Amino acid sequence: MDVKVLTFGIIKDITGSGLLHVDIPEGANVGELLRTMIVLYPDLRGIKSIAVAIDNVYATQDTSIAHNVEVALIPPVSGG
Amino acid sequence: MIDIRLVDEAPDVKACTEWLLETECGGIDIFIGKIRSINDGKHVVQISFEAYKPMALKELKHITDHVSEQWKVARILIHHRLGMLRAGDIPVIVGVSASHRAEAFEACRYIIDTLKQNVPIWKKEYYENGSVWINAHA
Repeated sequence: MDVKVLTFGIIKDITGSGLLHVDIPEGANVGELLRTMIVLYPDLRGIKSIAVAIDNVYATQDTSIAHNVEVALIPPVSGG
Repeated sequence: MIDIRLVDEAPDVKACTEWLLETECGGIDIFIGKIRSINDGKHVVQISFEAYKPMALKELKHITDHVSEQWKVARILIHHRLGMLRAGDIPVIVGVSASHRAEAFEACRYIIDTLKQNVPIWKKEYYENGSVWINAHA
């Protein structure tokens, strides 16, 4: 299935776009999405950590990704 | 009362202070972040801030909800600036009005510390010969 992925900060620089459409298997979870992203963009390995939010809420590796959700890849934050 | 904002212009420190002072509270604590011109020995030309705005606002609300449960506070203010800033500019102001100073200090510190850990805002520092996303690299 096609999932809409928002990127920010260094991840946006690496992927070259703030909005990606990524193809993942039906019912895939966050961990599987991240593994797919690293295959597509190997430079993501150089980031200290990547959190994932689904519909504006932090998710875990086991969280499954439903249709029509907004997924965001969140590099280490540095506000303030 | 809660005042949370992501802003594109410089926070108005005087207006923020006056809003926090409007209550009968005896303890008002304000944290102001300011951009240094030197970081890790490098001259910082400018810094850009970007946010995942809807989630950042939601996470800031989580923080103020927790503060309201944990401490007896009357007003909480968080203004965070986005966009391109330079040395001397103010990217963030956090303020708390409480009956007494202990609650005001503790709540204010909790807010800025948690903001730096959880809220999806990122800064990129620009030097004379390059730029780097802060905290990003392993």
